Amino acid sequence: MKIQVGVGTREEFEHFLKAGADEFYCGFKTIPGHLYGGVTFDSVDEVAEAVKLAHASGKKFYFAANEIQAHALNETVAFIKELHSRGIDGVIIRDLAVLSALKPGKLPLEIILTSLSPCYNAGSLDFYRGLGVTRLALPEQLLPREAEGLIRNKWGIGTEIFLMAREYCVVLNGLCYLKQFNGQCLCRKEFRTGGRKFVMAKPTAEEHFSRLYDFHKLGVPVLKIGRHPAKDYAKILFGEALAVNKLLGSGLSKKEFTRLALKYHAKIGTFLEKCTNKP
Amino acid sequence: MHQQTVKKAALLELPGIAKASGAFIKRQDFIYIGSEFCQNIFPVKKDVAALFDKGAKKIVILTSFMVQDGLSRLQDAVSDILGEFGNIEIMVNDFGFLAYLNKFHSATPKGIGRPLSIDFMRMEHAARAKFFKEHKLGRLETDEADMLHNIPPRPGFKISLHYPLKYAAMSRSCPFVRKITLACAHACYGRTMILPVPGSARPLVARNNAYFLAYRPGAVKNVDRLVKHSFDAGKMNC
Repeated sequence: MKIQVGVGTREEFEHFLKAGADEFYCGFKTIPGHLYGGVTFDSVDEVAEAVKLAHASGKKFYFAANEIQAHALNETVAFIKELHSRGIDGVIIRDLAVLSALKPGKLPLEIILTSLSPCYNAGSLDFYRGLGVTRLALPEQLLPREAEGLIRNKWGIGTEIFLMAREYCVVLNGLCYLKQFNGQCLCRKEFRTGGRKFVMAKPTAEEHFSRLYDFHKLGVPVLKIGRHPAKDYAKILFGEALAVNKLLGSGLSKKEFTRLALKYHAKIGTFLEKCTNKP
Repeated sequence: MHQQTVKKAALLELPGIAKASGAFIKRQDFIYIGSEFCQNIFPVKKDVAALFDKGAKKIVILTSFMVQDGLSRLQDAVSDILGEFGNIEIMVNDFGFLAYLNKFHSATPKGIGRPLSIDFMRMEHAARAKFFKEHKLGRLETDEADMLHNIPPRPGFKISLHYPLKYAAMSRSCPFVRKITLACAHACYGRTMILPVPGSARPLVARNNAYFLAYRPGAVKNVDRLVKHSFDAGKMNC
């Protein structure tokens, strides 16, 4: 699989370029594009330089604008047009108004529908195709057997999948308002109800790797790593993606792949926990 | 200010249909059934027939996001219902299902349900109005009373306000069976989990595969329908 990685700084971008990433995406400080306020680029020139460097290495560079609301519509559309004139390959979008404003075919851009969007069947994909979508980031809570019609769609729309053993929201992350209770993410908290413990259900790492194996077999061509506010987290995660991708390409059985991927996953787990606790 | 007559609606869980009295059903202008959150919960023809037999004036079918297999089953069930009954509205959260309805049941009144309405509550108005017109949508279902000021008077569609449960989150991993499943025995029916939240006076309320916050909508404008969550026909309220 190709590996796509979200970058927050020029330094991060250069690190991943050298490390072998195939595709990149970034956000921009004035355009809402990350649920948790990921690090973004600060100037158009900075983005344009990164695009140029990526192209010089035969790589692609995208722009994420997937948290747009009414007030940012015109600014976002104008910004995407500017980035297009500076060579950006495509954009990652959720908002239907932005999709409509870009008008299918008007700008020769790849349009990636964010995994935050509710696209769970081929009929929905056809709907988004009508709005110009050329690639789908598969929703996180979709099982491989449910995704076959999306992955092997008849329109040639590409797909990508997050490395979810590390990055997975317990609830649908595009529609999460749990922070309104006490300002914290509640989805991984332990609750007490009627004298019993309750935690929200989520798949195990083993299930995630097993599903990733199936997604790969079904033909998803891009493995995606998100941006992360914690310093160096994405770099470590990228290392895991490289290792897992190598295993996927080595013809292992699902059982053997899952065993080895879990081993690597556990090895870097402690290090990552330390890393995320850093300021 | 633009005045609207506010109609009364009750949202029932499917087993609540049998428990609901004819008097309760007849008091409502609309009965809501199905689920906006779980693709395994939607009515079939006998559920709709039972409600009309008990005196329901109009029925609103709520539908969720659907994976491919679920979408096929939903389409069959809804076609079956619409083939026999009028006075039905359908609320959608899935654009594949919306396209299906517009192709095969274009005259059936339709709207955008929760939680997809979250995106539409925040969308630039001209784009939203254009979308509603193009896709033959006449209604927006919301529980975001605090966001209603974002919608201008006479927006080109009607608005329903749900209470007393306000959506907070949902997962395809059901809280009651603890996994994603397409073949489901509806272990969630009749069950509510109240989950106290440290640092908050208000608990998280789990129903079906979604989590909510109990709230009071207060005085609202721009709304022509209030939908009360009366899962067990008025016997269970939050």
